[in-house]
Amino acid sequence: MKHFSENEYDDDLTVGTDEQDESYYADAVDLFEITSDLEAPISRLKSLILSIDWEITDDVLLQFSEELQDLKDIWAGEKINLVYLQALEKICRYIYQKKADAHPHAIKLLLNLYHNLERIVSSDDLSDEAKKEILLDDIKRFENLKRAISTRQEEESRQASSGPLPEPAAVLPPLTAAVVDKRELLPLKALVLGIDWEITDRELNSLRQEVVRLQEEFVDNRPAIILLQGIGSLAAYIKAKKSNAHADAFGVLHFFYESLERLAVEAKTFEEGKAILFPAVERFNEFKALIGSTIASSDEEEIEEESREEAPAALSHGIVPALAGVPQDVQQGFQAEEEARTLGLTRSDGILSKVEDFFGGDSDAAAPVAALSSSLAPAGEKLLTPDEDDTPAGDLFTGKIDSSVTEVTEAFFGPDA
Amino acid sequence: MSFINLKDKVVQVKIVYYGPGRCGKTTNLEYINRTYRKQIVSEMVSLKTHGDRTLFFDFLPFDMGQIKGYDIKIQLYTVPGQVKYNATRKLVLRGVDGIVFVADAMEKQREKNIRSLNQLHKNLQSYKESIFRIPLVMQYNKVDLKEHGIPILPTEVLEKDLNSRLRVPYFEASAITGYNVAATLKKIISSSVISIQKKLL
Repeated sequence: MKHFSENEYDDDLTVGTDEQDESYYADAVDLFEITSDLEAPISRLKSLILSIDWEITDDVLLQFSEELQDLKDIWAGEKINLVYLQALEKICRYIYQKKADAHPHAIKLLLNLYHNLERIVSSDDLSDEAKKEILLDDIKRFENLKRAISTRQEEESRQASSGPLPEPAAVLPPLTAAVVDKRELLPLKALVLGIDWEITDRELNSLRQEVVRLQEEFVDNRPAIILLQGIGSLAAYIKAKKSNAHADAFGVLHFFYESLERLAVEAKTFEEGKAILFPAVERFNEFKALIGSTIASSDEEEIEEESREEAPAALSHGIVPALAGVPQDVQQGFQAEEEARTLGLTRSDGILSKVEDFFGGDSDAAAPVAALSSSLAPAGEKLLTPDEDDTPAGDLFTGKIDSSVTEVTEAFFGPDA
Repeated sequence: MSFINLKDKVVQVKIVYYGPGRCGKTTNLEYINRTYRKQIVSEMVSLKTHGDRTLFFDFLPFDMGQIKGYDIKIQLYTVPGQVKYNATRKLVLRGVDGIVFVADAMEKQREKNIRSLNQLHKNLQSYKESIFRIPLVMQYNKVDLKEHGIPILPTEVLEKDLNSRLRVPYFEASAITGYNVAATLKKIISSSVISIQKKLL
């Protein structure tokens, strides 16, 4: 029985292939290591390149193509840059047409071209001569790729005429209980939970590395590989969209991880593995459909919102209070005192006193308030009465809260409080 | 939802200072960071996020009297200065437990405050959170400017503009002098802890 090799599961299609050719790399290309100015025009292109490296989707490729057009306008007088953009565009079109069937070196060259373009754009030390040399080397690589694609197409034509490929079901590997060890998943679990808490490039890069590592680890377990690919795709999406990522992305990410964990514990046969896998795939597809309609417009909305906020705040005739559009059935915001009361909290020493202990009483009030009180009159007199120093203005917040929060502590932590 | 570290027995509470550009969010955090050095674990950290900076620092695990061995660890976040993109503000709101909305009491900033609060409402919605459910404290900052002849919005106007629907606790404050900075912080901490308690029940 045929077993899948690492190459067949390689999601970025750039390593471990039979056609591995290091000549496509001028240097070690790790775009994650290049620290670029995120405000620079090229930064968006970079994120799209990284997305393509991770997963080839129509959306990403379309955005990539649009970004190239924008950069052509920005770099209208920069001939070397324009040649790079032209080359990137051609490769992009090729990948767009072929998608996952694209020659693996196409993506490799795409990364390399971007890497060198960023070097040229961001380095002040490079002379024009040095830039031209880099460009000429890349043109050679581009020509090599064109030749490699032609050769590959010829080989594929020959293979197609020699007989049909085996049915996918016939080459599916058996799933054994020992294939996925739950302990192996712990670092991944930590990273998934970490992203739920805070999204940083560092966390997402670590997640990517961990997914790649596990894909190698579970190379003979196809359901696990598919789940890992899903986790990788979701992480790439979150990385690309950052805070604009759809909230459901995190739920789907968790679901994929949980499915992977179940696979480790419950699945003893391939059929059981499929039963765990299919709901995850279904949910992933639903998520893709959900974000499909919103993905293109998000950046525009963001800039629009910003421009609205930063616009001069001239007073107009009719100022509409905040949240005026919210339906009237929503009465008020979070009322800590009421919430505490509904929890049945009545004791008098509570969280506020613990807070006071922690912060050492009114340490912020004494000096600053004294300084302020001498200068703030008449409004200051009301504001700076020592007794009121830590009391909010108005009557919405009173000392009553202090009488109720204690039981919150008790209910939360138990009666030992 | 706050993060509970069962191993270390620490409940992490994320509090975000939100508001329009130059309203005094960073000044609040800087004042707190300066005043409560002893209680703070680390230096104020600046994270580069989506082309902008996010400031945050952790307090030492909060001594709740070691109740059942659990401590509270407060994390304060803000997005400082003139923020170019809304993305960072949204990013920082992820997993938030409590928000201090810092409004600029200067008359000319009236509309900016309203826009910013409306934006907060939308940004929370994108995380399926509601401004009406999350602990929130209003801080009307820069009240000291009145002394310098700068027109300041009366508190009644700020309340009507920003707090007529929410009716959450509010403080007049001067972050630059420290007036009511700690009071705001203490209030949002206690409200957030109550909220966490409610969620966990």
